Amino acid sequence: MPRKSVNPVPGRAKSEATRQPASKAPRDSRISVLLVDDRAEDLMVLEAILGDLDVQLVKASSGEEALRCLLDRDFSAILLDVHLPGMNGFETAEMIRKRERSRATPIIFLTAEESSPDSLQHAYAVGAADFIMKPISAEAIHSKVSVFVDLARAMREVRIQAEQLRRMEDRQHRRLLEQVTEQRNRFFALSPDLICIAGFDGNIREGNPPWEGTLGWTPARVTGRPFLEFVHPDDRPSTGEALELLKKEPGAVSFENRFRRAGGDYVWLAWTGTPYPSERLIYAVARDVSEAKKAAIDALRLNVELERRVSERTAQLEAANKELESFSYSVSHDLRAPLRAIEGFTRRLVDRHSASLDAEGKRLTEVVVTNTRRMAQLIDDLLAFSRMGRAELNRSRVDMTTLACAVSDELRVANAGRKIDFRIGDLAPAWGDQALLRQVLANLLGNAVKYTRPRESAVIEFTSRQDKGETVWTVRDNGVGFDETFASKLFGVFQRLHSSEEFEGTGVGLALVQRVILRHGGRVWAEGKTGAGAAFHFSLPTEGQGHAGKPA
Amino acid sequence: MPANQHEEVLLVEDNSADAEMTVWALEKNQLSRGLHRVKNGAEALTFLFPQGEPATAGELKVVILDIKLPLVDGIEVLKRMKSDPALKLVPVVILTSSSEPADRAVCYDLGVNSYVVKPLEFEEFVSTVGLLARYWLKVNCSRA
Repeated sequence: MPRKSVNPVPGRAKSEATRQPASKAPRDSRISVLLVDDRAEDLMVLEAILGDLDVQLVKASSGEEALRCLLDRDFSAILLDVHLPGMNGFETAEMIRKRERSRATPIIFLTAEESSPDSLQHAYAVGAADFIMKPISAEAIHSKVSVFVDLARAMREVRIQAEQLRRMEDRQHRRLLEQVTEQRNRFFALSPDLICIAGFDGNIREGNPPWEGTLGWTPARVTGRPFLEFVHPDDRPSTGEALELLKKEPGAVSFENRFRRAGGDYVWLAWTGTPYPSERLIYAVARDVSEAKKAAIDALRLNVELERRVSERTAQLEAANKELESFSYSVSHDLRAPLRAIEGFTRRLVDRHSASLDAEGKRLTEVVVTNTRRMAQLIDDLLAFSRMGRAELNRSRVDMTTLACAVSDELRVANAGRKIDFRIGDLAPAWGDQALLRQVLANLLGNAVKYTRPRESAVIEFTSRQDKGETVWTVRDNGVGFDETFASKLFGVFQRLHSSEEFEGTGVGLALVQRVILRHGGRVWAEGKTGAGAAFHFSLPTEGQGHAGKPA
Repeated sequence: MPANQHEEVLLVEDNSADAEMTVWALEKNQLSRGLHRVKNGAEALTFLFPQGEPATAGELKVVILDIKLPLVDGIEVLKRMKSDPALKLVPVVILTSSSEPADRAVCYDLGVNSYVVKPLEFEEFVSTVGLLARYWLKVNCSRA
């Protein structure tokens, strides 16, 4: 076996001092390299070559010794002589590779033999990182080992930095956690609202100071107690439901309940709970809403009272209305009898005693009869008006054009001697009581006919238009009109703007119109000017919008 | 023999003018013989139910009855008549100013034979009352 000739690199021989401190430093604090050679002088040469690398060099003289060294520590590189007594280099390398910890440790084989392709292949097969022939070149060895040392150093650096980073993050994280915890505690302590942390088991884990301030419960009295224990028995089912809901679904749930205070009385609390399923906790915040609740209850009570009073008043009004109706009815009823008698007796006077009456006497009895008839008409109208208030509305879709034509035809026949131009447009249908609406048209068109009498040619228009959810119908004439100052009096019962000498009538017609329209939920109004015609408008709600007709 | 046995027509009317006009109507139809007029329901009951004797219809052929009457009203008189075995066969004509459906219904429920609202016009009144009297005294007369 040829001698290995070693040419030490000048200046490579480092003092032991540089190597020795390593022994004082904690193990593994320095990079270690294992040198395995059975020849002590070769080990010394290697040590000399690698002395300046600032690594710990560990020497072994056999494969077995090398394996023992590997038990204790990790190496960044292994220089392994192929020719070793006992276990040879390849066998040693195989053993090294088998161990998990040293599987990746780079191995550089040293051999004096001519490198046969076989042995090279063998070397690489057992995991050689490199292969160096003896006689070894100091520079080659130095550069190859330093590559691995640098690599190891760099990796260690990265590991250290990673570790430092991790520690730093840990510290930061801990600090943040402390901050958050402190903030949460401060919030928990300072919040004027009640805060409660409860477990999914329904027991209270923690309550903040207002539990004592507002409710009088010390932490010791509530911690671990079932939440529902404090809830008013009547509110337990609903609160229980809310808690179950919180366990089932993410997201906040709001609920209210009466909560018992230490004194035994209850306060109304409005809760908002949020579940934390991962911790199986429910965080809940409550606010004392007793005042608002009390106000709401008072308002409700006030409402009930108001409603009671309103219905009482309504009943009174209805009773009064009924009384008035029956009064007006019996008045009309009782007024009839004497009229019939006045007429009857006057007639008998004329029929049986005409001989004893002169012309003036006969004229006077005629005046009595005429006025009796007028009085009778008034009473009849009043009766009709009174009945109108009581009749049930029987609503249907009413073809106003057909109705207006029928009414105007009758009026034309009744006023055959006159020239009347009815202009009836294409009218919107109405939703109402056909018979009553016919009465309305008869009165309005009849009025128009009556008050156009002085005109040589009467023009009476009847039109309709849609206006904001209601339909408005208008009867316009070119008659004598009226002074608008008195427009409000037009619709009053027995209110008249003309004398009955000028225009006959009892003053009930328009009152009746108004009553019918009001009962349908509509409005009626008039415009006019003395001598310049009049216009009467009435509106009705469109189908489906009408209110149930109440007796007016 | 009770006092009421010769009367054919009983007129119960508190209003003298209406009563007189009813008489005119009967006179006009030659039906005013045997007419007895009372002014209120109490007098009518006294006439119909003489004290101490069972009521009999006698010659009575029709009762013309107003509803609104002092003391005892027409409805009470009608009720008493229609629940009496002898009197319930006597036709009763309500002649009233009331056209109230309620009044009409009550009267028919009690078994009234006619319900007539007094016509407003005098002439119509006379002819209507004349028709009624003729019908119940001549046309629909159950006795000879």
